[in-house]
Amino acid sequence: MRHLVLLFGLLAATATLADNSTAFVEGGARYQAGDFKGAAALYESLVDAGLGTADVHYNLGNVYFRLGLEGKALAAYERALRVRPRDADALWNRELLKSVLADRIESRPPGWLVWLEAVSIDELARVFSAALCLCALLAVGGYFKPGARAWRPLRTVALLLLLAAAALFAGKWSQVKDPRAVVIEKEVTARYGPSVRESRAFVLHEGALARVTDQTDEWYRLMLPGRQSGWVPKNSTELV
Amino acid sequence: MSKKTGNGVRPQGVRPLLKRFLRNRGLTPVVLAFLLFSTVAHADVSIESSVSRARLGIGEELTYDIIVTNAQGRISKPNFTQIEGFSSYSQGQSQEISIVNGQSSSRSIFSYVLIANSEGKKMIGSFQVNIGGKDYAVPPVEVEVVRSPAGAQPSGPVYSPPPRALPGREVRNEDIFVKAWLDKDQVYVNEPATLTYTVYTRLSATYKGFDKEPATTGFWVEDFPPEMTAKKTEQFIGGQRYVVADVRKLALFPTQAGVFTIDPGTLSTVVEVRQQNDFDSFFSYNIFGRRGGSFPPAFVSQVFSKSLSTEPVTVTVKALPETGRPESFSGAVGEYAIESSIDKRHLEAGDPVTFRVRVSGRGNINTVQTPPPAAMEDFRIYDSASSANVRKERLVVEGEKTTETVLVPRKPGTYTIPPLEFSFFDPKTESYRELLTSEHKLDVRPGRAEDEEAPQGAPGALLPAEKQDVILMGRDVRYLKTVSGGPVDGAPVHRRGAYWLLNALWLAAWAGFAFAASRRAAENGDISGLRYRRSHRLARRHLKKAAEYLKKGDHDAFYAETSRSVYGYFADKLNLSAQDVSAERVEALAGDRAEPQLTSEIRDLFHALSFGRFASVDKNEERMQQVYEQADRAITRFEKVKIK
Repeated sequence: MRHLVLLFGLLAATATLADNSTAFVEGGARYQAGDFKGAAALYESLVDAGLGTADVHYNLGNVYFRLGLEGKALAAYERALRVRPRDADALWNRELLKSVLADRIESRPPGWLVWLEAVSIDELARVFSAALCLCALLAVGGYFKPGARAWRPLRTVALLLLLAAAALFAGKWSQVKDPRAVVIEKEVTARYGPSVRESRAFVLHEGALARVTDQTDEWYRLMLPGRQSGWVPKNSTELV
Repeated sequence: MSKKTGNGVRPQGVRPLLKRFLRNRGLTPVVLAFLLFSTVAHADVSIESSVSRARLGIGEELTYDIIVTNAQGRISKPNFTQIEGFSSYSQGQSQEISIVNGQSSSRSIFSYVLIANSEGKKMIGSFQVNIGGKDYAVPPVEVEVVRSPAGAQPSGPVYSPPPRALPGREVRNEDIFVKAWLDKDQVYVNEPATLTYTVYTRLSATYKGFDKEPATTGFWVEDFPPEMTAKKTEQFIGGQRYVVADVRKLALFPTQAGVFTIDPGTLSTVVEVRQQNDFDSFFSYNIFGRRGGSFPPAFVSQVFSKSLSTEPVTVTVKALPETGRPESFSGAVGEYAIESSIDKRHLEAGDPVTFRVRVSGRGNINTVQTPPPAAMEDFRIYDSASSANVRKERLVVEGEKTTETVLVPRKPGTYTIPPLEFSFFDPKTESYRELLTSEHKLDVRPGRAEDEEAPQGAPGALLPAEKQDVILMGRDVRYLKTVSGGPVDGAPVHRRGAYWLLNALWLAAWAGFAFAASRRAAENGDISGLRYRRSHRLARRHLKKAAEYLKKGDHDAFYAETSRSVYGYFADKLNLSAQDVSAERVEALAGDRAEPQLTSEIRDLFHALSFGRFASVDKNEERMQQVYEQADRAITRFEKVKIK
């Protein structure tokens, strides 16, 4: 009897998992069969349904890459890495993709901030919250067992942890607070203002990734790492 | 060029008219005769000269006009001579005659185009015009030639007369034409066929390049340098003498088999037509019977642009034969030699040696692949450099291609680099030919690094296997993920209100419990802890004040403050009241945690303090300083004693 219940429970669990991943598995099959457009449609439907895990975005990136859509592929890999920043496959593929892009845009942050590339903002948010929780628990402990000598060093450690987590969180936040956009057209001219009448600033090619610092109805203002900025039409880019 | 010297019109019955004849080839003989027999009314002759611009850059042109008004009698052409610093071309002559109320007036204009060659101020003129047998002087005009003005391109060869808007039919196709021809009708894939453009002309002509480039899809094209091609010869065709020149040669290497038709494109030429060949000149010289000294020099001529096109050419490209094709064949067609070399024969393990393979010969050297070096187990092999050098001087495409490979031996020993096979198809003999490079011996001594890497094991021991790096065959994206899981890429955690609410909860708990704990400690009279923690800070504060009194020499205040510091310190530290502090209590409470030396020092300090405070006899500054140092030392040392 007990086994039966266990079995049912297991079945129910796998059923929900399979439900989510039917399209995922089917997409893989289409990819293998060479039907990249079909695979893209399936993965996109998963993303639209709010089921865009890092794996879905990663696979979508591969599909776009095979379709020659380098800009969309880069955007997909960036999304995958946003969720799972240390995914070796996604890092490899992104590097490979960047090596075939036309524009050389240095997107690595300077100095120690490089280290922040390896962690996601969610992870740091959780570490910060955990440090705060630790401080609170120590306060509770100190209240109920006031005499113990261990409290003081523990409190110091917790406080340092909290400060470090806050600093890292703030650093990461400054990196990701602006949305980013990828150029998905072969070539797009950035202008000094949000109109085709404005004079030209520079030309970006497919796969160029830049921060979006401002926008109008039809234009984004892109900021390149070199502090150059220009306006490009929204429909020639895709937000990461 | 055109010569129209009708010198007047009969006044009667002719309406006032203004006629302008520009290059009046179309003028009918009737009008001509009409003009010839007319007489001229009286008027004074005047001669002017004008330029279209007084200042111009090198390579630019101006129009120079000589205007003769109211000439009577025949006007011969001005004795226009070459002007220093200019190239000149006659642009023709025009005439205007008007008759108003029986008064006729005429204007003859001789136009020339001058192209500036050198800078400086130039005087144009003066020339002579013969009118009715009398010479008149043309007033000179000054122009200034400056170095190329901003934006003006130096216009290449000086001889670039401005193309006039003249119809191409002025020059007949029999006078100048082009032939495009191939030296072979049938070639093998990658065997060159030479496409030659030959211009036949009876006129003085200049080749200006291609209006439309030939369509050579399906061919690898090598253009021969122009100076190799332009050789002029003479030929008689249909009884006419032609100057023949090959203006362009291309080597075409077909990339695939089939029948190809090449559209040869269109050439652009500039043709110079001399006056003597002209109908009008012929006409005027004979009718008037005058070939005076005013006959225009030969350089005054008319120039035309002329586009030349020709029939497409067809070539049949044969596939290379399958039979007898060597395994090492990689598409090279022509005639080649191959050699290989190494830059050193003796080296240490771990040292690089450069292995060079050089293929040279005739054919499309750019597409020749040098044979890759053989795989050698005991070497690490790195491709380093490849260079191709193509020469076309001898109207064949030839050259050499060199590939360098760096070999690094792993172990000492004597090695042989095996010979490489190279094969090509020789279209002359229509057969494949195979070549072998020589083999090379390498003597590798043990290297320093190598000794450490491979320690010799005891006899019979297992030697570690030769390790090899995993070699990347190619670069591609990694494969799909097969399982999907983990969080979804959505709004980040820190954008959710719940996250900050939770944090606020932790913060509130922290603050609340910390506050409650301190409140309870205070209520439970746990002053001792507070006093203990504050003791040192307070003592230091008082001691600092004492130091100030010491400086001022305020004896009583110094001892009061020092006592407050020391007694207060021990009271706080040991949780006593200040009155209870004594050397004995300190000794008793500190127990054996304080060193005996420290307790005796403390006893001395207390003694000195009571002595200084109550027996205020000895107001020695030195003594005060001593007491201060004692207090300072005692507090510092006692701070290290663990009481609790």
